[in-house]
Amino acid sequence: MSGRGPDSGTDHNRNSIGSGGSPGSGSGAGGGSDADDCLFVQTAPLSSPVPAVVSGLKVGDVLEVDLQNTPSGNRLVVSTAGGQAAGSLTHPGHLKIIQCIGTGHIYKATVVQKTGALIALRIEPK
Amino acid sequence: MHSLALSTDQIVYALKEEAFLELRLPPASTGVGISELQWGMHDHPKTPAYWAAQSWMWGLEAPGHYKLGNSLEDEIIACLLGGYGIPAEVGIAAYERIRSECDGLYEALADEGFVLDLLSRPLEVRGRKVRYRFARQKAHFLASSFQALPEIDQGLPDRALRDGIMTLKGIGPKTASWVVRNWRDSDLVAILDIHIVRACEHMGLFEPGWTVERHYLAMEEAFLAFAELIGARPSLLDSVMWNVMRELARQPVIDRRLEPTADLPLFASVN
Repeated sequence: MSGRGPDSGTDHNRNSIGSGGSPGSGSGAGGGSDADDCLFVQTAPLSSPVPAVVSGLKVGDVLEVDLQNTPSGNRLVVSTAGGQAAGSLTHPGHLKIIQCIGTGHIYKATVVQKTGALIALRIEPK
Repeated sequence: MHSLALSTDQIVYALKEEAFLELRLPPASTGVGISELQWGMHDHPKTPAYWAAQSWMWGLEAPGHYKLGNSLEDEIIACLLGGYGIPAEVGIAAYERIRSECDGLYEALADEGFVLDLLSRPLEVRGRKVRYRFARQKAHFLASSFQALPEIDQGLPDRALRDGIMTLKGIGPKTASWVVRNWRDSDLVAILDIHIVRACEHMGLFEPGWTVERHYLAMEEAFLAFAELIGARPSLLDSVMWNVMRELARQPVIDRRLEPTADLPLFASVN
């Protein structure tokens, strides 16, 4: 039966589907692209923190979340209001944010924790 | 400007109960093993570093998130009813119906008429009534599988069990591997569907011309070797790749380029 019949297919619902969510999608995240599915709040660490920018951040600061194209796909970049890139988002829920930005939603990231150069962000619709 | 970020170790952060955890990965410009493939940036999709980082993070949050059932029989039902041409939600709804109706009495599923009746009735998915496609074909496969399943020793090692499950009607190496990965959390098999194949081809892991129909085992070995090189459990890596590639395929290409900075290089070579 190798490679024949249903097994020669192209897609598998191999995971905890139904909700469509992935680990770390954050509260309210997951599901399809319905508008309400994008009204979530996630908490995530700032990846690839830029020391020169992060050093000036404090709890309560509000940052922009935007998409950046790379040769291999979209990447989520977090920037200051002045346009300085502070780092990126790579937590398991980041794909949901990319999907929702793609459908016109805009998100902000608020600094909720700062431990040295490590930053935790609360990401929510703007 | 980008050389610094490409030549220093990458540190991936995760949050767990308000504590920061970190994973250190090789510099982006470093080769993975002895191959010419470079690690790439961990926040650039589809690079080896990205897969390593995502597997690590998902492993922290939900290591067994791919499990669908509570028994080998459950996994066979779920995996057989899912797959090509079946939207994920519909496959799950069909699985839930079969599972609840047989209520652990799996021998009932050897009755093709019984299974067909269950699959022929409309399913409710997100508040809508939908029909399960291929009800007749899948009822035949499922009933045939459950007629033959008692012949398979469920205590076999992972790969031997996979080979045994492949003898069931309608089940090839992908579905059999899927069942074994889910049921055993097996790191000895790979589920080479289109999403995994595309992710691996993007990195050049497969020889040109390889196809799952003719080179499944060679491709599986390449996938497993890659997982080992990046320090990821194959069972998790497969699930992460599947989820991410499926999600990326849905995303629109949006060109909102930001200015590159020294610490956020735009491009990372992956080939």
